[in-house]
Amino acid sequence: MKTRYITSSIVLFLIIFCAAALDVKSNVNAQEKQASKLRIYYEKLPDNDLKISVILIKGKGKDMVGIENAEIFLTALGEEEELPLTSIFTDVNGEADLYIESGFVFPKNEKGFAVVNALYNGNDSLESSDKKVKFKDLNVDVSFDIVDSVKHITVFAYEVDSVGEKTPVEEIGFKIGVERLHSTLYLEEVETDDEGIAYMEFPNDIPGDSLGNITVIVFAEEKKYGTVTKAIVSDWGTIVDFSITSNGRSLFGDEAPLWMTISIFVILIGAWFHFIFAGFKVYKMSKSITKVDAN
Amino acid sequence: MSSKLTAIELLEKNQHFIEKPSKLWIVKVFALAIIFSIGLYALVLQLIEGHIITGMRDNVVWGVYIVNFVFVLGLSYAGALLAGIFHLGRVVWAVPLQRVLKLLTVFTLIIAPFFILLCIGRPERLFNLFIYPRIQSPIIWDVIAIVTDLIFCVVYLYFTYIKDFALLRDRSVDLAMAPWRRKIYTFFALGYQNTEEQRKFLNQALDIMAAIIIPTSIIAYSLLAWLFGMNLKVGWHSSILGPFFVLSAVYSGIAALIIIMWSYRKTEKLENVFTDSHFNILGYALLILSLFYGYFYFSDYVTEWYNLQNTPNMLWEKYFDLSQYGIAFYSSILMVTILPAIIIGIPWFRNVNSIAFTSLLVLIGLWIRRYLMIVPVLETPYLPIHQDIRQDWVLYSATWVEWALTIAGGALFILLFVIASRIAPILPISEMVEKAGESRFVFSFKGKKKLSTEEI
Repeated sequence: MKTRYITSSIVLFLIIFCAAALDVKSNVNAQEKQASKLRIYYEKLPDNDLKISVILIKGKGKDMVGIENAEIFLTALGEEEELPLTSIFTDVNGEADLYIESGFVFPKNEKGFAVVNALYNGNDSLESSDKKVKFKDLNVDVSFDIVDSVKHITVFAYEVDSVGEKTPVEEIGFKIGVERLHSTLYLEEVETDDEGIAYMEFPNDIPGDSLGNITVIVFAEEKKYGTVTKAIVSDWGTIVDFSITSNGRSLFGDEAPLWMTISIFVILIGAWFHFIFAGFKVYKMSKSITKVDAN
Repeated sequence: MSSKLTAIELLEKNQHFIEKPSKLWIVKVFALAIIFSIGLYALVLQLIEGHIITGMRDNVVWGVYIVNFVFVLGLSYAGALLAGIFHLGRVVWAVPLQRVLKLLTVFTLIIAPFFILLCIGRPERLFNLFIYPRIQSPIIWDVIAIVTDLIFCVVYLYFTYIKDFALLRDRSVDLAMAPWRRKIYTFFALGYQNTEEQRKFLNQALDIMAAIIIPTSIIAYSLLAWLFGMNLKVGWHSSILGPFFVLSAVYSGIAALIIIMWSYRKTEKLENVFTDSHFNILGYALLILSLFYGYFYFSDYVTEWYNLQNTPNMLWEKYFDLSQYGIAFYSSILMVTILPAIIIGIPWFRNVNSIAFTSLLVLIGLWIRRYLMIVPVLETPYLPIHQDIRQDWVLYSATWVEWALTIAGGALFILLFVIASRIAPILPISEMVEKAGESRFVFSFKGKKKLSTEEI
């Protein structure tokens, strides 16, 4: 009985020791090499070009920082084939973007998705990491119609198959807005019906430029299709006259308010007049010596 | 004393001022020149390295330099204001102080602008201020005011010297002065022979100058206050700032005058000129001004405190917090308002030395007050400074370069006084022996003859 207890204690000790040793070892490894993490995003730009964005980071929470100047290899993956795209280097924030012109044909997997793999090979202090993004190409047509003096924007979302056939895509949420100076002013959120179509009634009071032009933004963010943005210039904005009217004399204009100019000059003229007058008195004082001499 | 002696006798009694300088005088000049040179070295370093070697950064763009500028300019305007008021008021007891006041005015007015030039990151672009002035800008108001005041004060000082230059010219042989000095005195005396007509013209000129110096000083220092007050900053945007500045200036000016008088009493044995009575009267003025200052201070504080919002609250917390500006805040109140009331107010403490010591405390306290008015305010903007920014970019701390230039400014001030004392006596000898009634009043009642001081 006693022997059994001793044997059990030794085994338990060995297990704890080994576990502790393993933990120490893993910590040592962690100190030697830190884990890196890749994030990858797909975006379809307003001009139908594609953008693959990659962010390489290390650390967690508030200690998370981007890794600068790291080479990321991008590869398009098909059902059986692998097509190396390029390699890109991260900036100071750990970010890198790849722009691909519209019309580029990605290999597809068995479900018809294009897959792009980002790979970071690591270095002496960072472990390697990789991340995939898969997406389908969503096409968006935007049209502007006026029906009974009411302005409508119609959004048609569809996929195009290999033979050029259009297939409407339903339940795609779009945010429709107008480009402003610093950001987009979103007006309404709409969703496509089973015909791939969504409507929005456009307001009449959106300020445009001097010709009434505005840039309408149609934006969707879907897991399956990534981020899709369309930007269309329309003359549906109200005409804004940007000619600057003169403020006249003002504190913040080119010319000071009249009262200020007059006050300052009156004070200065008054002071300098008396100063010159005092100087004149001294001048007369210096000249009066000739009279003294003559006398 | 002045009424019993002739000008010549008074000059002879004080001829040690203009005689061959003593070894002690040379040592003083040499020591002050060395201190000033260290400042020049710091200036060269700053010009080469830029403002990075100062404590000034993006947020606290003004530091010790602007504190000195405001402080020194206050002394200047106070000197001009007091000299003008004493002259026009025919204040007989203040006649011996006139030259000290005018020298104080001019020397500080020369030194002060250099401190603002030190604040400018690109001094070589200064000319743009004159080429593209905007009359709406408080900076331009200040430039106009300082330039005008400097010209007026220098000329006023010179006018008051004319009678003494004439005296020195006439007595130069007896005083065994070098011929070149006599030539200089002859040139600057403008042929003054102390005739009745000449006296009349010169006194008229002095009256006019005194009259325009007073409003010029008040306007100029108010403009400086508005340079701060026109900013939408906590602690600056206050309608009381203009009068507060003028009051502070007069307060510091009287304190500086007392210290200068005390120094001359100790170094030049002028106890018979700068008498105990002078200290007594000016001490009382100091006491009254300390109470006024306390009133203004409390009025300014209580008005702001009553409607405290976030940012003003942050500023006042910094003032009250002993780990931040608390020690400076409380000690400045002690030095500026409480101690003068105690030391001068209670007869047991009151004497020449204690009044001079109080004046020193007042000057230090007022300098700290101006520091507290500028630096903590700049450290507390309405829009909070980004929390991740380096603390030494947010919090100001003056470097040795700034302190060296500050001390150099002080050394230059004393040096100019020491040198000026050798050019002509520090006492306005001619004015002291002149009958006070000889100067005519500028204003009189219509239809009535102008009254002299004696008739009054």
